[in-house]
Amino acid sequence: MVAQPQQALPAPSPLLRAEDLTLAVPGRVLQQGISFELQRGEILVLMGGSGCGKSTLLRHLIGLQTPAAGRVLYGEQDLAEADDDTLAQLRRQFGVMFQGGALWSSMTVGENVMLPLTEFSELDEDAAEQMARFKLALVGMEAAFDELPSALSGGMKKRAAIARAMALDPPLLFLDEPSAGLDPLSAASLDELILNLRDHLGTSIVLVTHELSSIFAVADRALFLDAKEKTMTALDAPRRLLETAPEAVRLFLRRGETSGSGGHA
Amino acid sequence: MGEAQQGDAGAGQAAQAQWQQDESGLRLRLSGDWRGGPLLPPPPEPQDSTDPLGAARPLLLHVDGQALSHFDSRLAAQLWALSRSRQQALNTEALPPGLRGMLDLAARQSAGDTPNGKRRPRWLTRIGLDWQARYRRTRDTLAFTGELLIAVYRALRGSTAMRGEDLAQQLHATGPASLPIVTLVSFLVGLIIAYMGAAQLQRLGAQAFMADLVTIGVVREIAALMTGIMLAGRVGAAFAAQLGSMQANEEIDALRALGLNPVEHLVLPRVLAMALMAPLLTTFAAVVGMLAGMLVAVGIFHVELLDYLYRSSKAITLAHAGIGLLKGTVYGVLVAMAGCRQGLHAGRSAQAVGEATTAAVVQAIIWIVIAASALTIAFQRLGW
Repeated sequence: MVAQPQQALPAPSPLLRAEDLTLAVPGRVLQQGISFELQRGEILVLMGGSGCGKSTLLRHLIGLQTPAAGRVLYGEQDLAEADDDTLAQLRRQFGVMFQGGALWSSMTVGENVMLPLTEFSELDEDAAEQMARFKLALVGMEAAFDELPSALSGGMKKRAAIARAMALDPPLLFLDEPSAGLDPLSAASLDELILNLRDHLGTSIVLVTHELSSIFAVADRALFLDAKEKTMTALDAPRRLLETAPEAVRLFLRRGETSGSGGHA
Repeated sequence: MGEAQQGDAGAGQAAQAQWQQDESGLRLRLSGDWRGGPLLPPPPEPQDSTDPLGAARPLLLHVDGQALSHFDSRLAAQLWALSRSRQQALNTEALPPGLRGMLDLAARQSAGDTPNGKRRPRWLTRIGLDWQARYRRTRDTLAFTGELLIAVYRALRGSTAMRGEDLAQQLHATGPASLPIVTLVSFLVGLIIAYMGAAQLQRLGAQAFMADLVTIGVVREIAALMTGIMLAGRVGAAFAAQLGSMQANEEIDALRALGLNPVEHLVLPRVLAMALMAPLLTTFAAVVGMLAGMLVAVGIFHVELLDYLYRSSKAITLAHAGIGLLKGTVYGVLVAMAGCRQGLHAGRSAQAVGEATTAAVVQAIIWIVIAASALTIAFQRLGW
């Protein structure tokens, strides 16, 4: 493993626990009563209609926003109560891909992926470049190693951002709409990569997505955030949700079930 | 990263790698625990085989990892780099599933890629590209000026698409919001001119002429120049940043796609606001500068207040005031044009927006200095 301080994550399962979270923006509550656990090696999909608070929930899970109520726990460590050192150490244990890619525009794609490696691992420059090239190859972006992000399309930026998020082989990955804007083949490859990371590296993944085919292809469990009810209304395996979830969730999933069942694996 | 199917039995074994050449080609045998980044040994020289027709074809690089106990992504990255540097595909059939899955995925995703770095162009090409970029920038500036003149002409004819709300918003951002900084700088510059002038005039016993010096200097030159430079830093930079961000977010493309003219919608209100507000700010700066000069003359060099006011009023002529206002207006328009031109032609990244902002300020100051020189020489020649 490239990132050394693995032991910083508290040992017992679950890896991540959200307890009765209330998500709010100034003057408005987006969601309340959000509770779930993420097991090691699990792929959890956050889904729901536009504007229901999926990305906001993700920002709370990585400690960029503090919940109005409730707790986010990594092991027994409450994220809101972690001091700066603990928070920094915890954050090195997860990789984050933001919705728009968020590549640093003054650096080449290769430098974007190499930065966490040179900062937080003991690899020398050559080894870090080898690692960065391999991570970019995994998302089909090795040819863009020397390009600036401004020269990339939206989908390419996202793929490069996934490579950056995986740079340190983190045990936990947060991906915010990684396949939005990708062509179907790239989206299918991305699903394959996500399953590979889970199956072979044991990576836990929290995935925010609208792509129903991806939900059926990769999710162990899916959590549905309802914008009208302002709370989570379902949490289960996607196929079980088709039978047991409330009507709104089944309607949401039914359109993807046909495309997902015949789609990529 | 992972472990092979044989459990932890091999966890204690040191990482080992051995190169072998057999009838199927070059083979790399890996065993033991490869976590923590041990390095692969360099391979022997490649040997090409030929097919029955005699045509050379690349060999597969066979990797046997059945005796691997543990590995991490560093090993995968090394195998990938090896494959790329030798331009040979990896045969991963004898690797543990985790390692095989990753390497196969990378190979599929990168099919057809050429991962070599970009070649730096030769010096002659670089000079050519540089001049091409200069030509393009000049052409863009001329085209922008032409579009702006057409937009102004349409506005004068009353057929502009510019929204009144946009103009009002820009008038506020350009004028009243700039007053504090204009006040501060004009006051201090007036103070400096009065002090420096008085020090020289005192040697000749001519402190009484301080009023002439400060009034003519401030009204005719300094107020306009300082206002122009402050507007370049405060408003021109903001114009470039606003339009540059809109360019990065494709908002300007959205206007064009709708058949709307971005110059009329975005540039014209900013340039008009500046053309209207710059002379007012220049007037205000001149008054503040003169007041500062008067404070120095009366308070420190003991010039009679009424004498100062009388000489001041006699020094201001219509020509001085008109020239000062004209210069202020010209500088303001140049600042707005520089900001809008750089913003409209910015790249599509955060860094490009920053570069456009810097370029807007630099270009505005250069244009101001050139215009100041040209106008000063012209008015002197005309005897105004």
